[in-house]
Amino acid sequence: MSAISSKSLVIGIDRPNDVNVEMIVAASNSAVRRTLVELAQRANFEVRAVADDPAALASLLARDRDASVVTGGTVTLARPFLSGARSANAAAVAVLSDRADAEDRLNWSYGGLAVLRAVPAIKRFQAATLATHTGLSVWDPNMRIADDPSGSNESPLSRRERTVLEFTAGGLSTKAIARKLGISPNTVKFHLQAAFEKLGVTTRAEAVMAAIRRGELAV
Amino acid sequence: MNSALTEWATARRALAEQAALGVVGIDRGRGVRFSGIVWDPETLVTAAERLHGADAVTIHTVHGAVPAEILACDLSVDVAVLKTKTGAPGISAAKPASLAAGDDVLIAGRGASATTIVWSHAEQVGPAWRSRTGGELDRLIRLSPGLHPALEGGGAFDLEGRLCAMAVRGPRHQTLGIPSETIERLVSTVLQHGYLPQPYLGVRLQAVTLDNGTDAVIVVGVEPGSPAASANVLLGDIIASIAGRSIENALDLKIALARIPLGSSIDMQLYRGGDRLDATVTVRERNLQ
Repeated sequence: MSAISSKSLVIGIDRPNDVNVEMIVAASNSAVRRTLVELAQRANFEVRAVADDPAALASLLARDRDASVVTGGTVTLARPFLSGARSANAAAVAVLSDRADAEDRLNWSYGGLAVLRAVPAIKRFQAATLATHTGLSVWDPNMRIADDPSGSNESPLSRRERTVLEFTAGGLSTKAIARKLGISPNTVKFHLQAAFEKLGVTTRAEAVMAAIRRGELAV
Repeated sequence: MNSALTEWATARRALAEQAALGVVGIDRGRGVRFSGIVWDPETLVTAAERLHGADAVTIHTVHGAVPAEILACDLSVDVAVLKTKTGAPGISAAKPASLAAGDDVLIAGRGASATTIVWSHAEQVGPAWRSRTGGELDRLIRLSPGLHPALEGGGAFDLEGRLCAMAVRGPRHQTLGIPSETIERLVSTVLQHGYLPQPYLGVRLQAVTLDNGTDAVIVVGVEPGSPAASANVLLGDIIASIAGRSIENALDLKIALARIPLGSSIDMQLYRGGDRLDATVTVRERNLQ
């Protein structure tokens, strides 16, 4: 990984093409992968490869030592990919839809890792990625430690996930939801997938019911 | 040649050919993967969950491929209503009482270029039931298990060639039939409004058990500007019943609301700080911005 001077970093935020960041998108869920690929491309980074399991990521990193890893989804989904990136000494960005607990926070506070709340603005994603290349550790302030006094391990839905579910409950299509929220259809699917993970369901109808039962969605 | 057997086979063939005209194959961008029913010449129905949030699909009929637009999805009963022009006359629905357990039914669906027909039978026909996803179905219809995914959303027809149900896959390889009268109700609401209005109160709820042992729901959120907010429902209120129906969980409330005409005022029995309180609330449509 080439060192980047502070000057080129500043330039890089506006024109990240100059920095030439190559990324490997790693996630086991296809909706998450698509969103991350889109995010990396919109940030003008080059997506070199896509990995759908930690083993695939390991072999890609063995071949491509300068690549950055971008992973995401829920903490549980991202964890194996992050430890893979760390053992290969690769810079990594985690785009997470739930909060990390104290242990994760401790494990993930090392140089070269950025932990961002899903789905970050392009500028924020660019800045965090570039910062990891300088060996900085980046934590999104919205990724506070999950501190649940009830001791329940249910992570609450984020505001965006709730909104997406509310529209889903209304029978709106992915595209219609994307239009209303001013985000891409892939990002809608990302939020929906994150909500599925948190609610422990696999279909839209179950997600709506589970969210109503948990008091996260209004009747 | 056994003529009775030949006649029987011919009759079965005729039924299959007729059913084929009433179904379509549905492609949401990656090939034809499941089926739909031609409800009337301009309306199709299919399994809502299989659409995965698509807003338009291509349908394949015996006459070729045409686009279709999704008008509404009711995820609670797994039925989506689509608008298109198929050129087909549409199905005729069977009378609900005519189907009994043990009856033969023919399940028809369509791939890109050919019809798929499976002979099945009604294993169980029972009274109205509530799905796990909060839908009220007019009858329980369970068909032979192990429906092929391509047939999901297809029609289950009786020996008169009338539609009894839409075939969908349930849990544990079960095949469920969404009764034609449930579909009928949904289609007429959607065609009347152009979409599916969602009755709405604006409360977020969690389950509680009262001192007397009955289950109820406690209000953990009141959305600003909602009917509940206008009726002065407060955080911490317990909703015991609505329009005379007792409410034991959030699902009960959702189902109670579905039966109340939009715009009508209903009585609600609350407990606030241990005291009984009656409130009147006007059910409105959920405004999705």
